[in-house]
Amino acid sequence: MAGIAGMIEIAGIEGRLRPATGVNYGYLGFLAAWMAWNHPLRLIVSAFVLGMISVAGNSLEIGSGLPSSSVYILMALVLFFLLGSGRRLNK
Amino acid sequence: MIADILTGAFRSGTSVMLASQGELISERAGVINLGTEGSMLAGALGGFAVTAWTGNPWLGTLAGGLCGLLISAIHAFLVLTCHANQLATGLTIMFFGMGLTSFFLDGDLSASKSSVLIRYLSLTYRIFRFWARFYSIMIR
Repeated sequence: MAGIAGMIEIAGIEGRLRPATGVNYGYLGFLAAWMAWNHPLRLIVSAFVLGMISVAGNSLEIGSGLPSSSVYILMALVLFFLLGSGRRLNK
Repeated sequence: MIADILTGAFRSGTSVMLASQGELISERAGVINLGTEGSMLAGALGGFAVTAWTGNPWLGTLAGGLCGLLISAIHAFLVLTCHANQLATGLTIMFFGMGLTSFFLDGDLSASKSSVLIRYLSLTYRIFRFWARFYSIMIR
């Protein structure tokens, strides 16, 4: 499945093979799976949320000149709050 | 050539060795810390910022250690107090460090820019203080 994802990324989006293609996608995939509590349907939603935050970095770079990877701060803050609220959810 | 490889190994292996010593402590305590890269990035950011601000590399070294301490405090709070997943917390810390470094060190950091950096850093400190207060209320 991950191989299919890599094939789609190369064939559909990038169109070329670079050394920096999809460096962090595996880690993001792990975090998406954790956010969805290992449920395949919820995983669609969580992967969509993570992808939305990642894509927001592009417009951040175009609009305000910040590097696009600074959107990882927002992603990390969202995930910090999710991680911290885990105990309350389990109660 | 052999001497070049050996000196290069010492130069680049020292940082790996120091990071591994920190990782070893948490592994011996039973916590898997995947956020070592985030700690290293935050330490590099803090060390560079303070060295560029004060001009004293020893203060920069101290600040780098303190930044690593803060990042590890986030990890420890989430894992030990909130009982969050250790692997997910570590990966989040890694992304947090990557975002912090790319946000604060955009382009080259000159002396005129360091005041902007300090302002951003104090803003970050305020956000974290608010966050800590929020959680201390929520947990109570």
